Amino acid sequence: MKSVISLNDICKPSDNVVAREVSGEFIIIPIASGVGDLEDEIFSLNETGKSIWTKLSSGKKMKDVALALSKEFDAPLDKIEKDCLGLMQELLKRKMVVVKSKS
Amino acid sequence: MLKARAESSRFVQAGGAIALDGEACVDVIRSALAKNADLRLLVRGFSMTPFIQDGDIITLSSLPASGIGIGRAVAFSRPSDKRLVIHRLVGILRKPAVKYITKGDNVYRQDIPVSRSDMLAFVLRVERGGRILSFGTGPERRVIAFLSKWNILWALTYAGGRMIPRAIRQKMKQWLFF
Repeated sequence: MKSVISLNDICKPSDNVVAREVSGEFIIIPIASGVGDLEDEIFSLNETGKSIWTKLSSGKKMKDVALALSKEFDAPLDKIEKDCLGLMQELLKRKMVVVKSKS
Repeated sequence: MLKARAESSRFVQAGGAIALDGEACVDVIRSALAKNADLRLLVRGFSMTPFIQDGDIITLSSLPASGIGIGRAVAFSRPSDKRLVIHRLVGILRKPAVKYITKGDNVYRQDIPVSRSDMLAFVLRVERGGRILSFGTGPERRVIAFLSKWNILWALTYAGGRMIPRAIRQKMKQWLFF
């Protein structure tokens, strides 16, 4: 399994998670071994994480996701790219995203 | 309130408590079950005492296609407010349409019958204090359903329970649940 993500990768939410916005918080529940654990394994994304996550299903490369977010928030591209890769690395470690392809 | 205990990091928060109730809770459960997953969650409330108690952790599983057996503890979305309720199935109405009669073991009255579309899951497992409880989820559940339906269980819990000395009640609990 891929362990390092680059800007040319396409990341998508794993099929084995349930992600929902609840009371203003964006939560992710991983389903491990066929069990979603609302007691011990429930995660919430901060605002940055939530913005990145919502762009994942578009099927774009990470560099395009970062570019879109950079325009949307009028923030420096290099910082956004760093945030995107940082989050994807974390989510990949927790098996919440899958890397679909690399060009 | 649901607590996350995993390690937190820069983007992913895994601490504190997340309120997940009402329709949001039902929505999350439906989504997880749609992925053929079971779901572990913390129980809050006393309506199913003594078989499911406040603070127990239950595992919900998809309802079998063959039908829901009377006596099972089931999770459903209460039609009046769409909140998650976990009570025991004590009967099934066949006409004019199929409706499920549920009741909390520790509640005097039955719930308003619910349709199949409101039924979410059944309780596969109950954990208390790190141990898995089997009493109440096996074949004996049909007897429990009968006792619950006719309020015999409720009477035993309230009226009978007060006449039995506390020490004996504690012994009975230990014998039945641990």
